[in-house]
Amino acid sequence: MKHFARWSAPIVALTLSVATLRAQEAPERAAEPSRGEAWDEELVAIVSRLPIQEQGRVKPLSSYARFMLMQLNGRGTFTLVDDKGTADGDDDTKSLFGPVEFLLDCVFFPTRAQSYRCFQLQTWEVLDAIGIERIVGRGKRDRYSYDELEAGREQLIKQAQAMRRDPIKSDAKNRTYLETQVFQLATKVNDFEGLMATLSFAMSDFVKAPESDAVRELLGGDGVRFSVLLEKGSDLTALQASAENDATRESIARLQNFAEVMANYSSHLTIWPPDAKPTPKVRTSLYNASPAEVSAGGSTIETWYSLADVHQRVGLGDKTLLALHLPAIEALEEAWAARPDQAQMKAALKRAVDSLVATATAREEYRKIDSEIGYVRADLFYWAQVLYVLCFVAIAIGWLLRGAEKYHRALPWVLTVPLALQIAAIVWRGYLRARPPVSNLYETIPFITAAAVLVCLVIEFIDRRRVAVVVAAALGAAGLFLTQRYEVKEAFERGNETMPQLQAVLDTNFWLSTHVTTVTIGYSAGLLAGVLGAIYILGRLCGLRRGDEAYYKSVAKMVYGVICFGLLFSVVGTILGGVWANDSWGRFWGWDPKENGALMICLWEIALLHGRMGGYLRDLGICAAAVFGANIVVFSWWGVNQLGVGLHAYGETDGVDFWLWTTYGVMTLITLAGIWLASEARAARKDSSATPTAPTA
Amino acid sequence: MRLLMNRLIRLTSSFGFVAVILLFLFLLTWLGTLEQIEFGLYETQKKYFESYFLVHEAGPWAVQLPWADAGSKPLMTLPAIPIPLPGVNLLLTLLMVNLVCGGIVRLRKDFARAGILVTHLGMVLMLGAGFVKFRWSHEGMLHVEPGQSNRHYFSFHDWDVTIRDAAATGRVTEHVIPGEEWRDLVKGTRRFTSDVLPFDLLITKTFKNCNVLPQGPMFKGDGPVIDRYVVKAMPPDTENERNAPGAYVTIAEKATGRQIDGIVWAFERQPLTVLAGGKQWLIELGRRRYELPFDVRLEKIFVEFHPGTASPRTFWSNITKIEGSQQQAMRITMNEPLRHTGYILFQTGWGPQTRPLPANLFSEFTVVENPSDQWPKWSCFVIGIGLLFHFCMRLWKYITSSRRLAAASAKD
Repeated sequence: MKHFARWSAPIVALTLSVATLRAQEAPERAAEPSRGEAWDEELVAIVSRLPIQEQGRVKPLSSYARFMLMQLNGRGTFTLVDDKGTADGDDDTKSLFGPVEFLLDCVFFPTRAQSYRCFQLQTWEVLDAIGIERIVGRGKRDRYSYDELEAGREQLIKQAQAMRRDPIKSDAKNRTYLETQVFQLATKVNDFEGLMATLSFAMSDFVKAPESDAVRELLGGDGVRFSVLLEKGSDLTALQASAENDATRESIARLQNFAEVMANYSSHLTIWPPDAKPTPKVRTSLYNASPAEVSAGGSTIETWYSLADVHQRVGLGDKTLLALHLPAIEALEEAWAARPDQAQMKAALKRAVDSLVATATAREEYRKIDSEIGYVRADLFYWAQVLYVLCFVAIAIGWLLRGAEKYHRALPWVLTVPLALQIAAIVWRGYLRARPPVSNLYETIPFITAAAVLVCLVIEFIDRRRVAVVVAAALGAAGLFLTQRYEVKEAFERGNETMPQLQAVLDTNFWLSTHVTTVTIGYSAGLLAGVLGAIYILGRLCGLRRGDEAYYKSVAKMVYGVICFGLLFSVVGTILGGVWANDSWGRFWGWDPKENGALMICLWEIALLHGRMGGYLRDLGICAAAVFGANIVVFSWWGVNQLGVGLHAYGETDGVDFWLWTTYGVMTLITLAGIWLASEARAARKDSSATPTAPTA
Repeated sequence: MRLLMNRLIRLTSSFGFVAVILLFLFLLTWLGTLEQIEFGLYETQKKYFESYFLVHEAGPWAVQLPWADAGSKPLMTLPAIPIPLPGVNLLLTLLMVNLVCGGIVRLRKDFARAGILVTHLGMVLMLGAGFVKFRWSHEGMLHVEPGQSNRHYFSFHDWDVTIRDAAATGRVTEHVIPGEEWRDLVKGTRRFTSDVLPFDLLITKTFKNCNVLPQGPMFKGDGPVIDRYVVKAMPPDTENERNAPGAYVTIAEKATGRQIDGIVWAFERQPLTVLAGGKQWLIELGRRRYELPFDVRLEKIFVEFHPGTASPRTFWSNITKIEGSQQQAMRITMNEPLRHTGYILFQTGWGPQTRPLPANLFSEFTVVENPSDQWPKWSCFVIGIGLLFHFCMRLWKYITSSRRLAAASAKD
């Protein structure tokens, strides 16, 4: 997302410029045509392929659109409610939009998009803060349209700018909850405005034809289009220099001003590659490289252009860039003019997208775009979650069936299907990012879930007691639910996508694949041990399988085994982290909160195993300790990120405190229940050993 | 005596003993993590992780109604409860004793425990590495401007008072008063004397973090006004590197008994200059300085950004290591430090990070002298092999016993 400072001033200035232009010479703009039918699927597929450079990487427009929609709407789809005006809303019709369809509406039918209730508010106090009255019938966390928010737009921007300027409030940590919401809404409104203005350059009805014959002749006489102004820019400049009358000179100046303003206004999407040369070995973002070093590496520019950049460079005489992108610009103008005829729009858009795809392909930057489109469309995490839920239901049905051995034996095999989907999604992501499976907090969730499910299935195949298989299905479903919620939450509240570029210190696949992977498997085992321990304690507490000691013995063995497995990975992962830190920061151990979290897991698990070996902990004790150990894992995985200190404080997430404390509370209660049961069992053992044996006959 | 020794060894090598130590280590790690929010890493590290004993202050506790607004005045505040605890240094020493006695010497040496033995040996190696690092290592920052060379690096946390002859040129002799000898001064005066100096230096008051300001009506200083300047104490910063210590000093000339008062401060642009024994002397409070056995010349620093962002993707420095007449071109980048003669140089920072970036960027390297630099890596291999061997054996046992149980239950 672009920074607030970047947009606020230019947008105000540009709005004024456009307004001035319109006031001076523009005729009334034609009313926006009605879109009519739903977007053509083929057209949507074409637009989805458009490559865009954003947040430091080239991605398909479909990924960008999905992220943007989650950012605004708090979910990856948009439901348009056609309000018929009845009080109960029974007559309302609803239509579901995908992200690309939503984006297309914003770009091609901005007036229509302005009425979409796509701005999800966290609290309606934001409305009070920007001077908008609450709408009767809307909830505290309801959605509002741009039209509904427009009355408070000025206030919104003013407040957000004041926060940017304030030395204290400019740091997001120092803002109140309401201020954070105001700032976030301002950013979202800005992005939405940017998106709606994407094809401003194509709106040639802003400017009436020039009066000067010479200018008209030069431009072809058929109205004024941005592409023509771009193409004939140097000729116009020459004509302006040689023109004898002021009217001609002024007319040219106005047209050039128009082109510049429109280019600036249409600069929200960075979709224009700077050239068609192969991927540079020495990149342009490489600051301080000498011309010789740069030319040795190929291209000089890695950063893609906005339309304003293209206009500026062409104005400076870059004919190659003009030749490269003029066909796409013309095609986009045609697509705009063709509204709402989707057949014509499709043909024009195909030409534009093909041109830009060809350039990106020549630069070797399009290689994974189609794959990413497939990854987003396949949504494997979602389908895996659905299958986990179905498996859980199937297992629950199995509880009602007596016998049915084959059914029960088949269930772990069935569970391998969602697991395979989940692993496929993780591997697919890894391929797209050219990274090991875990490189950010989001990726830890599916990875930890997959590792836990895998371990459960291995246990089930060995033990066959139908305990691990239940845990596998439940953990799989819960983990993937969390994965999807976290993705939306990060986009909505923090504007972070889940495939971000890594900071310099993390840019090492060796350490990501060794330290991060092993330590994450350690987390997974710690959590799994806690869940199995909770099953043991709750089973005892509720009197399930009373008298079936073999069952409980077996569960306790599972807990012990999983802890041993987890300890191996936690210890090796933690030490590897230290070795990495020693290479990056010059110290093996720095008592950083994240390091401490990992150490606490190791210490707890080692203490637990020594307590067992020393006879201090029996089955119940091990299970209670394992449940508490899950608390420690949660603290290390999420809790330390919330402290806001240390070198690993990049994972701070808003709004998770409630869930964290709930987890701590529940796990602690189960631990206490385990301790109570253990003390009861000890007392019972003492009593039985103190009771004199009855004399036998 | 022998009986007592035996009992002591049995106690220190018991499972209960190690479990208690580990739980205390766990507790201290947790407390030390939470304390960092308020006191920062450096202070917390000194108090919890580099101490033998400590007193943890639990609280004070502000009692508030659950439905009260955030930031509203608490109903009451319960006082902090002091809890004496063993420090991590003490616990690690005891853990070492336990590992050696119980985990290696007294451990039954058979095939079943081979993995445990190897793991314990790895742990001993790692604890040893930690001890060597704690005792003999030091680190600092080496700043090199483009095209220039440097061999002096400065401590992050240690500050010394230095005295030198203002007229001396070339390699000069500095008289150093280490920070350890004056930074804990709370009351009274400490006198520092040297046979070769014509004066004694008295340190009368020290500040962990302070500012030196011209005396004015707007605020009250925290010491006497000297040459119209006064020291204003500042609350310590949680980032210890940002603290600017200062001190009031008095120079007592030995021959005449004349006394000159002055202020030394970390961020002073010029040293305190005094005339004593017919010579001018410079007195300065500065970061402790170390010297590398070689020079580092910065040829060029490269910074690469993720395209279209201000986020650096990577940065590296091309340097020349100059050792006597030998010159060697090298590259230092993130995750790839330079290791040479017991010193390790890490690419830590660069600058100035102004926009637009200037043509000549400087480079900053963290320099660490650590004799046990690679020991943790070796210990990781040893521990990993030991644990893997042991747990594989346990897994095999589990699988076979599960199969046996399943077979038995199928028979029934």
